[in-house]
Amino acid sequence: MWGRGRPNLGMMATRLSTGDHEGLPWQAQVENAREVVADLCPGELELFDYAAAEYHVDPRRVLGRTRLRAPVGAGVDIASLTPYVLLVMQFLCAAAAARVVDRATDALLDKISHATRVKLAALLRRPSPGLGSGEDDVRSTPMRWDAADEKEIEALLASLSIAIDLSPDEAHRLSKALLVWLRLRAGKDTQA
Amino acid sequence: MTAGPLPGGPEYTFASRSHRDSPSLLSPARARYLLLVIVMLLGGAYVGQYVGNQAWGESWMATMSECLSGDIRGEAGTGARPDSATIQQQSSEIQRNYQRQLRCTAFVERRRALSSLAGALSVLALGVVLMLLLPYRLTRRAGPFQPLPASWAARVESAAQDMGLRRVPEVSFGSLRMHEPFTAGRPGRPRVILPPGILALPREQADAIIRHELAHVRAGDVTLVWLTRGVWWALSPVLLIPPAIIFGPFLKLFVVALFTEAGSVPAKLEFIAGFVMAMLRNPLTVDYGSRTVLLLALAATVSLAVLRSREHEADIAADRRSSADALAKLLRVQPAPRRSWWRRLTAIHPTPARRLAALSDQSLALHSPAIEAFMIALLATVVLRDLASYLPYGFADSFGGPVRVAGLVAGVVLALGWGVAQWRSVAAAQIGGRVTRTRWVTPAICGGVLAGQIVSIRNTATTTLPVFWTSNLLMFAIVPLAVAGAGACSIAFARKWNQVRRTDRLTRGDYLTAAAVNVILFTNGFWAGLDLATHVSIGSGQIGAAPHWVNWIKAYLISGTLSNRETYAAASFALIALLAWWWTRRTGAIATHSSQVGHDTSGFRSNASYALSVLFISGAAAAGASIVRWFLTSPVERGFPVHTLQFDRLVSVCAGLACLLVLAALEGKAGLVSGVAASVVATSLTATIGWLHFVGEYSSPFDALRSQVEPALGMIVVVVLTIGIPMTLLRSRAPSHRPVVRRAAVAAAMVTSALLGIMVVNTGDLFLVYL
Repeated sequence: MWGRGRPNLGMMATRLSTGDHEGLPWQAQVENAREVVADLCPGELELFDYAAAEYHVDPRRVLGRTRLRAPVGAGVDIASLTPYVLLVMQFLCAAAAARVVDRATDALLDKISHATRVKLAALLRRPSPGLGSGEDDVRSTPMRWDAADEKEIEALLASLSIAIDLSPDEAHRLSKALLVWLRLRAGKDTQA
Repeated sequence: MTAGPLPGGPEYTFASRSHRDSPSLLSPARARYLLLVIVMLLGGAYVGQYVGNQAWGESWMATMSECLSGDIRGEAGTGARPDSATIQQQSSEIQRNYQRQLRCTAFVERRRALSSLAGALSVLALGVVLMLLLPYRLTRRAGPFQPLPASWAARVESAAQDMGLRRVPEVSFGSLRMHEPFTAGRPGRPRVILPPGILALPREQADAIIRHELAHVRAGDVTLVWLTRGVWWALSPVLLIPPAIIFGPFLKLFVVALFTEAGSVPAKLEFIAGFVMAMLRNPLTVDYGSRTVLLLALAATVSLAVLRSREHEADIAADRRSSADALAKLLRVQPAPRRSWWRRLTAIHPTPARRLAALSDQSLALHSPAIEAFMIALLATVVLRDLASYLPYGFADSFGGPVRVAGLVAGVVLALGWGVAQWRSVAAAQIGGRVTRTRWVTPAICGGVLAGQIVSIRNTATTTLPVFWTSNLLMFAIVPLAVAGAGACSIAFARKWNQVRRTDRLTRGDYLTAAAVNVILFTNGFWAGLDLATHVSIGSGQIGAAPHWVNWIKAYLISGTLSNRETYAAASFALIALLAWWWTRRTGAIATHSSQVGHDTSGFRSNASYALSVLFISGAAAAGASIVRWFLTSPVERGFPVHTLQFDRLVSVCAGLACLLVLAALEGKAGLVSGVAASVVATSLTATIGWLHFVGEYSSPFDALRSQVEPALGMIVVVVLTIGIPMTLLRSRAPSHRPVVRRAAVAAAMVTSALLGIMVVNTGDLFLVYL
């Protein structure tokens, strides 16, 4: 699905980062990601603001595949999940906005249906282009977030997780945390 | 064991066994890094000397040729047996000539040594600069850094105290791109960089990681690793200087011709190919190039292997002080890498599976395989050969000269780099309930020393493979066999030492014991091998001399008794003989494997009784030899007191040899340690009795006693190293405690000693030696 070779995560993140004006503002994305991180790996909240700032400055560097090869080290892979949460959040915003990123990313985005995309946009509090006449219409649209939508999003996240080279365990945890977060959001929105 | 709340949280407990209780205390890592650095600096010394030779080579050759002309012995020997006066006269003449040669060659030799030193120091200076720059660059790439939150700082401080660190190193969080924690920094200022991902780990796992890094800090790995890397990178371009000097002018002409002469592109390509082929066909290119590549590859491979072994040691240290299984839990979730052989060879860390296995059974991690013995022996021999050739003629003359100094250095690095690891391996195997397999260790040391004699860069254009094959192979085999004999003794001593240790802990005293015994064994191994090889070479080169086998016997005896190192050999072997007696007294004997592993000495009757029986064997052997010597005189010694002295020494050696043979027959290879103890006692006793025989005739009795005992013990050292290897082929047996067997052993020692004495005294001048 991603064509030949492994995707350049850093490049993808950079492309996702450009064009804030089309999607959710960066600060809102960060707050969304903070909520997911609080559920997924609460320990990382201690450095979350530093991490978000570093990611925002240069996502290519943060997610680049070049590893530091230090001779005196513990030799265990303890990657922070925060940049991945930020990346996935950006990705969901792009999906909701149906924004063109690149062919590979767009191929992933095509996995979700138009209806789900509308709901996702609402959940992320971002009006999607081509959906109704304006932001108020979207917000006032009664929204249902059901199992079918979750399944679509889950499939999307699964594909994305493989693409960004997360381990199955981490991918599962991340996907679960995001779905829980979306469900909560949906619950909040419904009540609103 | 203490447990209690710590500033980081009330639920957290530390297992605080003392940091001295780990088998990893006997880590050979520092010595191995030191060995690597020395070997690479010697590579720099070669380049320094090469450059020096370009400037002063001709004047050096002319001076040396002029100064060393003529026989150092003065008047050529007549072949007849010399009397005492002649020997004394020749000796003083040799000394006079030698001093003249030293004075004559002093300037050019000093200049040659200084050029080597300059080469080595250049590499070291460049290496130190890189040692500072490389970690700085790595640390910069790991930034931006975030300071530790207060709760984490308290945890790090506690962990540092627990790991025995006097000063808490700087710890900070690195960039998001970091996936692995690491330690870097300047010497004395290590800095631990943690990836932000560690915040998501359970507390005990995060603490295990911190302890792992602190274990590296405590072991001093940071400075040593970066120094080794720095010197490696510094040496690589320096080694290009000799080819640049050789091919530089040709290359210049080639480049000029390439760009000035007209011609088509294919013609120019052909021209380039022809030049490259001409360079490659040059025997010096192949010889020097292959040695250079081999040196760098060896240094890199050994360095990476040491890094991996240090990971196991740091894991063990961290695991001992962490909550149960914390590190193992973390390792279990690590992805298993699919590594090719190349990846495995160049990996910095062992695979998670191997680390887990090593955590569950430390003897796996602390095992010293035969390939280690091969590599370390090879590098130690490179140090021996190179150092001996770079030191100036007459250096440390009172100690025995450059060869003796180089032998000492090689012995020390081999002892600390391999011997100590082997002893730790034996101890760890016992703690883990395993049996140490050492079958291939002795051949590996032998092979390593043999290879080390050939592969050094210093041997470029001198010890090439054709030269090696057309030489007397025995010459190349003598030093390896002597050092392998020392290795066999080391293993035997390690097993005995392991039997007498009462606890499962290794202490600083254990380290010192292991280091001292191994230094003594390997230094004597190198010295004896070098002396023997030199004397065999001299004997073989004498025109019209006796048959080869007679020369070899005489060379063997000279290297033992007249090589001017007997004082050190005698004193050092007396020391380890004392240790052997102490250990023999404390335990029964090295018996079967099952008893080794479990400290099960219940089958033995009495330790003191066993030690007493070994003492009886020594006494009986001394008695047998002394009786023979007291009443038997060789016709060739009449009128030649110097021959009487030599026969006295030889008969003393016979007593020691008899002890070794009887104990080998009694206990197999396990008898080597008690054999060393018994042989030293028997030899000293017999030599003292021989001295008492003529005590009234000496003007200086104490000197006379020394001249009897020291050469005899020096010879026993050579004998022990010689029979060390064949004894490893024997099966280990528990000594019988039946009185009849013990009495038979005592009688056998006396008879064997007497028979050997009679044989020696009745062989005419076969065993008499003159310098």
